[in-house]
Amino acid sequence: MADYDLELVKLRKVYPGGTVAVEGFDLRVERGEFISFVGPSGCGKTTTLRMIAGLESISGGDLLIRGQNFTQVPTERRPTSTIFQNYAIFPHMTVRQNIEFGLHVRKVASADVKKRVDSIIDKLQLGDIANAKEGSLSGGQKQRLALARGLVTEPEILLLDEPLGALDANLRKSIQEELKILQRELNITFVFVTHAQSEALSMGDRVVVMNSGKVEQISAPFDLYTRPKSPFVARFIGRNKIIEGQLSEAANGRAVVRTRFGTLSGVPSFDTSTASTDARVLLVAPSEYVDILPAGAPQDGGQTDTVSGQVSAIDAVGQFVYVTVRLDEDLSIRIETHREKIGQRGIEIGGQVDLRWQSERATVVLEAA
Amino acid sequence: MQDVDHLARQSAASIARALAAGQADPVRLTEHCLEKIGQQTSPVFLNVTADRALREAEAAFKRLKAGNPASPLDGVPMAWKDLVDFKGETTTAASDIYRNAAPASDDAPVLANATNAGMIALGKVNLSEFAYSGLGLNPHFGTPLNPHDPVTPRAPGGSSSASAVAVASGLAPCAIGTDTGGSIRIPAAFNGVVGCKSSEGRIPTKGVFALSKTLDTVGPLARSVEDCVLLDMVLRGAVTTPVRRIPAETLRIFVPETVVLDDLEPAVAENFENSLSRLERAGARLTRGPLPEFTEAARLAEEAGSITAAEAYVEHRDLVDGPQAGRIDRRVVARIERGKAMSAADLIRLNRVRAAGMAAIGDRLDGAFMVMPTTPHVAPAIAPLEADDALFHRINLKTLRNTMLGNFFNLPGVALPNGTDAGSMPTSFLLCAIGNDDERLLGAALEVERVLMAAN
Repeated sequence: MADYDLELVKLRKVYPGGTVAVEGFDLRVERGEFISFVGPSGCGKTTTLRMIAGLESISGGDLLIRGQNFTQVPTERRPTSTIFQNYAIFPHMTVRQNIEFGLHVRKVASADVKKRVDSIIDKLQLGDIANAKEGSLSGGQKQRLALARGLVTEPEILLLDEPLGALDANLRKSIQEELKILQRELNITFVFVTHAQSEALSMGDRVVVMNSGKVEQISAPFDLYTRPKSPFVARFIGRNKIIEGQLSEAANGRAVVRTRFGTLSGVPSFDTSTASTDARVLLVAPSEYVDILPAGAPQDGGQTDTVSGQVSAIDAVGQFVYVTVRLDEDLSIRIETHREKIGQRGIEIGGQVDLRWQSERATVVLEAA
Repeated sequence: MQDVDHLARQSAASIARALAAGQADPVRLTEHCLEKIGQQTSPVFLNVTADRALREAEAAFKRLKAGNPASPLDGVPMAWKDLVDFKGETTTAASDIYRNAAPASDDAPVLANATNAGMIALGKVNLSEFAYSGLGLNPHFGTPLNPHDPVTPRAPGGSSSASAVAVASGLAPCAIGTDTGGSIRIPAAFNGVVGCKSSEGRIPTKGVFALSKTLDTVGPLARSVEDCVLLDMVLRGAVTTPVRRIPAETLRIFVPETVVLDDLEPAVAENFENSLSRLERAGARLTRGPLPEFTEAARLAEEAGSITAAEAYVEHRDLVDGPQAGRIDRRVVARIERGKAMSAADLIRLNRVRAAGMAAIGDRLDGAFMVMPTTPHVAPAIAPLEADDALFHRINLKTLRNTMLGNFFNLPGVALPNGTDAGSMPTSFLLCAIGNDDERLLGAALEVERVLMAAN
């Protein structure tokens, strides 16, 4: 058996007009991994998914599933199923008929059809509505039906194209959890496309961030969040605090950055041996690691880097408070903190504050290579 | 994908030739179509008859392997507008009211004919509710999306909306539609495929859900005129076709300058004129002139209403006057209700003008073919139409303006793609003949297609 469930090797998609939709996509996915593709619309994530599904031809590179090359194999001969945002449910067929459809297409023997359909209906709790048609189903039921239809063919890889996009926020949350549990139970590989970075981060074992047809970074969610490797990822993912500057020195896993708010430092995301000093860089500090204190408060807790500014707004949402700190006329930073902390520390609109963090929590990213 | 996907995107006739030559397998092809249907990105198929299709494909495989095809289209998959009875399936006319109606007891004769010819019935596709509107919007099951604009959702055209979308987006090589006011030709135009409206009575309408018993016609949407020629034969249960290509040098073409050239989108006008000059360069003789019968028909439609509205009211009066009317698309109810208000005198006037017009147009053409832009505009964006009923009715009537003249005067017509606008949306060229001249029409259309598709 091959080591990987799914391998993309320099995958490329060029449309007839010459537009390059995907370029140089390399990825290896292990059995049972949950991979999210995320990026702004038009970044190539859905095109890549459709190439894996066989719905788009592959212009260059290779697609391997369990070690076997599927680059030229038509969609119905691939061990994949796709769940679409619109679910592609046939409205005039019952829930059961919709599920059976995939098995008919794959010519499963009819005795087996009933057994497999019954089992998936049971697993996804569709028994009460097995004879209902689409018109009487709720959004969550439609979602489960789409999953049942995708899973009944026992694919090796399930491809999900923004499958939760049509659901309201509450339902979305609960189905996200259901999906994770289902995926662990089945232990099959899920490739999940979304434009919502919070969904990608909460769903994926690893996340692929795409931009303009290229892969920006492939990392576990926590690493992606805390250690971005490019300005695009730093800006796209999470609630990072970003300060522009110029590199003054970089060595031994530490980069020092000159900014208009003073000298700051962080962990370089680039090869320090080749970076030139004076290169334009971003200093990126994840929101969680940035503390807010009244100006000039004594040091504690090993926070090494500080910038100062004036509080311009305080917005409370339940227990949480968002404090906007104006560092200068071009840069304001918004900090999420707790209501109590604001009260205890006497932070109020118009007051001077310090933002502090440990330099090893910050990452330094090259703005232009 | 490349082979079977490539094959699935060819014309029905090319597919049939590959199947008959043993270069492709009808079962593999059918599986591929079904798989693509399972991945449809808008509500095109309402009901997929996968079991039936695969059974038919196996039978076709055996015939073809034995060198004994049932027809020149043996083994070719086809999609059917959900107005046509399939034995054991509900015919819904894309209405919520019929969602759970009793299944049909028999295949409609037109389907039986295609089945006898070895064609594979993939299933039933979406339409404008009751086949009554030219834009193809469906509030119950969703609107099948025009595949030519991946960014802005655009109307598929109607009423055979999903028949055209299925062919244009590669879910089926060909499809069946019906045309009472433009319902084959308009979606063909909006989706860049070929659509053929037959003469009244040419292709059997038994077992086909009626809108207007007088004006309803059945016909194909396909990827070439050759496909339409073969489907015209197969759908009638014929085993040969007398259609002969008419050489361009002997084509006489009349361009009516009344009504049908008014208020065209610039790209439609430009592509139409470009098509005319190509035909002229190829040797066709063009004449332009007024056609007062069109003015009269347009005026009378305003004053007296339409045969379709009168007959649709008779077909559906129990529904639109009953407690269930609220479950029908309000825009469709509004159009049917107009038939209720018509008097016997209105209908008699319409029928007299129609009869006189058919005779006059026959004299005027005297063997020539008539041409016009199929629609005055390309497929419009859906969102504004959904938001504003007045706009919907205005654009709907304008969409139907040219084609409905063909229904009123029983002029069979072939809609042919003739280019695109700057945004890649297709435009269409409509070639018409007088009633019952379908075979000459198809013969001329073969030639017109060749001329329009030839490189400059």
